[in-house]
Amino acid sequence: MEEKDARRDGMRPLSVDKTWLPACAHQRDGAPLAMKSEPTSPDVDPAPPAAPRQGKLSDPERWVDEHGDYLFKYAMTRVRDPARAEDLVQETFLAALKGGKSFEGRAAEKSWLIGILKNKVVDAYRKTSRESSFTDLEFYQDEERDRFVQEGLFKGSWDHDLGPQEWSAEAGGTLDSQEFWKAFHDCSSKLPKAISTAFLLRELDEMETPEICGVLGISENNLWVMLHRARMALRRCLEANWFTKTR
Amino acid sequence: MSLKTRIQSKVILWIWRRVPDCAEMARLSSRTMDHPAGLRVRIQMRLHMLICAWCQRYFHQIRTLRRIVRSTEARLEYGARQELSQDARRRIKQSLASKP
Repeated sequence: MEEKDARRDGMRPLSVDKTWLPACAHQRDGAPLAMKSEPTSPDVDPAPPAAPRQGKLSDPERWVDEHGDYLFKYAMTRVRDPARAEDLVQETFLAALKGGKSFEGRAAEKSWLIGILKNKVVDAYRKTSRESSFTDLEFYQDEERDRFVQEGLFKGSWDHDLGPQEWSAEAGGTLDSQEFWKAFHDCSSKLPKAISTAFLLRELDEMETPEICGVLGISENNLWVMLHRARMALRRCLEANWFTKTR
Repeated sequence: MSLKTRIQSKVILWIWRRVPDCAEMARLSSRTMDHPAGLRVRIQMRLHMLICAWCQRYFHQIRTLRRIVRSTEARLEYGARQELSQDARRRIKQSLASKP
């Protein structure tokens, strides 16, 4: 009966107060019993079962085989230079190796790797934007003024022959993607690098403008001008090479 | 000139004098894709597009461009023919193996 009480008290260690303890010294047996009921006992070690899953020797090779092409595609879309894209993919795998995480699902692994690659691409953009000078000034300032009426009552309105033309009905609907992207690629490669970078970050990566400003180190006003110029030039180029082309 | 055309051109002129010109409209059409405009600007743009087919087209075409570029299939298509070459694969695997 006495022992039963002791055990019950042992389960509630907070209730044990010092005035009570010396009188019943033999009840110290109750203490280890209470300890044992705690969940963090030393014989349950979570580390060993997890270790084999990390298999660091085989993972990198499997990564290259399974995700290499996808990552390369992603990088190529953004840097357009096979050598640089390959470097970025390699850096991504190296960083991933350092990170040393392992995932249950392939999808989680893939998006983790894409996340790393995205940061690498943004770093690369940041670097090139620092290197680029203002040689593109002419492009910034040219707002295709020749396409607008120069004087008279309707000064500043689109010249009816040079303004935006009607796009064929199927534009954007049943478009032959391969051909469209070839045209898009040709058109965007004519843009100054900083401008096409801004456009790709905004439309392909769907980044918000303050974020892009941070990456490229420019003001929001400056970015708006760049995006305006990019859209204007791309629209014009695609109109000529894609949308109203007689196919 | 019929009465109808005369009224039409009066209305067009009345609006034209109160709205931004087409060059400014092109800027605004782009700006509003990144940053919402105030009510005043939105009304001015609407009015302008009421009388100007070119700006209407411009407004919708740059949005079409965004829709195409942002559609998922299109994005995959953009890099469709890009693959890591066997050499590149080997190089990457080697560099990974050399860093334990």
